Amino acid sequence: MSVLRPRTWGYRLSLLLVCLLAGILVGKAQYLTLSTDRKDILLGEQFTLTIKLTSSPGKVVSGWPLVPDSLNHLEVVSRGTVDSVREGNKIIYSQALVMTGFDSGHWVIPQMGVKVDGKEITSASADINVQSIKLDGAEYNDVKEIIEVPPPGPEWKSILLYAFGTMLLLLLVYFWWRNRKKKPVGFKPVSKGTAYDDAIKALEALQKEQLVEKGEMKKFYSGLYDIFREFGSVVSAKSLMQSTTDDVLISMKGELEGNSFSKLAEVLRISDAVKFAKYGSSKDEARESFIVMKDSIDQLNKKKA
Amino acid sequence: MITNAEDIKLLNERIQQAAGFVERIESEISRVIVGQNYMVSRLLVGLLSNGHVLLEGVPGLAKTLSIKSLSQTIHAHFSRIQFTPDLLPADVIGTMIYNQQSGQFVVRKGPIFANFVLADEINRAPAKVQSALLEAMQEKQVTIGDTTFKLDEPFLVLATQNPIDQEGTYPLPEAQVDRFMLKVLIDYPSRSEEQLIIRQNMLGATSTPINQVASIQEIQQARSLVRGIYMDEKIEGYILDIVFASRQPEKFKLEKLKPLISYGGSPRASINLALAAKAFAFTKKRGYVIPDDVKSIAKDVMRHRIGLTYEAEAENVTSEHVVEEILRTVQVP
Repeated sequence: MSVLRPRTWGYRLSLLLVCLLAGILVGKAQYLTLSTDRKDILLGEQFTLTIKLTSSPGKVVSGWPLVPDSLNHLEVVSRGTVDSVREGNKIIYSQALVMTGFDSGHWVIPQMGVKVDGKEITSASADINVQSIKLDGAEYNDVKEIIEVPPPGPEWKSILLYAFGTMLLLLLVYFWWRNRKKKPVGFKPVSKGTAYDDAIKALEALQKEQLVEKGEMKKFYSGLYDIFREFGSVVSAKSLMQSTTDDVLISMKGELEGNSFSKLAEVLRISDAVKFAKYGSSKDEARESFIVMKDSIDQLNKKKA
Repeated sequence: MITNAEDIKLLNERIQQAAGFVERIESEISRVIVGQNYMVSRLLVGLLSNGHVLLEGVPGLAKTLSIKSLSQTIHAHFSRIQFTPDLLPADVIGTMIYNQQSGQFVVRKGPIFANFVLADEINRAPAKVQSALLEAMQEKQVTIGDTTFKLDEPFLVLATQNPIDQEGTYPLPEAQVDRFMLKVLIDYPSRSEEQLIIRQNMLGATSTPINQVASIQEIQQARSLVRGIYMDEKIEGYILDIVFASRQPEKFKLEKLKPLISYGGSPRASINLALAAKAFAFTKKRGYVIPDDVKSIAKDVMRHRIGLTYEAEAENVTSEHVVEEILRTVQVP
């Protein structure tokens, strides 16, 4: 018997505790709960907050919690109506609110209250995590250290291309320089002076080159002829560089007096013969031609003045 | 081959002697024809350079008379073919006819067998007749039946075209016009020349017989001399500049001509310009060519070798204008 006594006391104590708990539960027949369908959302994602009141039939429910549009960093997107369902000898009131959050963090939905038969019943608070990125338990890596990259080396392809291009350009310049049209010997038309000054300067330059002494008659007569055509272009107000000997003489007819015209014609014909028929003009003839040409230019200049 | 100044001098002297007939011919023709010196000088260039000549001018400008007179001055065989729409190639080159007496087919040579052939109004005959003539011009021979006949030398075709009344004509294709060395435009005589023409006609001077003043042998000899006339490299460059300016005007500061030209002078233009310049130098009794020779003859050589665009036609620009502009712009050496 002494063995059974402690068992009996333990049994009785357990039964008493069960009865006490059952009494508490039966005593708490009305209760209010707040629940969310998700615990974690991303910024702007939506979740549903359900406010649920469990009560007994015949009890008067008043002061249903009014949730403001903004609530502790959370926003109400839409709110459903308060619905009631009878389950056995219980009646359940519930309202669903769709909410969202635009600030990341852990936010608490504060406890709410409702009156049942004039008696205030409060709920526990609910909470929600609003995250900027999804933290779904996947493996995350630390931010890597800056990796040092060696500076880029010389690009041989570009270097070769540039070298080839430069060589091609130099070759082109060289060929242009070699094949460029040589200016008429002895004539340098660029001057700030008058056409007459230019012509006289060109004649002096031609003389300085001593082409007659060197026997380069073709160059000498070409130069002499072009100097006169350039000057004649100014006097006759039309380009004589595109004119033949006959054209030049027609332009000069009436401009030169006495036998100057026939002398000029003679020099121009000698020029043609030297230039186009390998005529070997003597040095004296060349010097005489130079004088005639200079006289013609002088005379034309005087007439123009 | 001319290599030095002495050769040119000798050639010059030979030409001064050989070219004496030029003045004689010109003077003999001027007895019956007043004015038209330009046409006569171009006919002589054609004759000396063995090139055919296309004459364009309104009727009544003494085209036929000039050619006939030229043939008479050298006592050459002259024939005239009036081109009509119903003309057949056989009417030009000849045909085989049946001889009843011998019972055989014999060759009847056509009027093309002459030294000077005047193809009057060449654009009035259909293409097949034009082709027959132009082929003979090119080949200098004619095939009748199975036999090929060489045409006599000198052989010079002088064709005429009427610039007005183009209805019912067959314009010569560009490729065939190119075979004419020169295209000469004949203009009306001056007032004083026309007065003289009236007076000569009243006196009956046009029926004055033309005397022979040169021989065919002289012409043949002159032709060989013409080919040997010295042409400097600078003159060749000038000729090339003129021809190339007709092909690529923008390279000669002639951008404004670019939209007006559909095609420029062919290499045949360069060859003919060089040859005609030499012949022109010969008529001036020179053994070498100067830029004046090239410029004087350039229009006649180039005007029918430049194709114009529709834009040019709309602007009333002729090939004559284009050549003039080229000659005004290309620098003379």
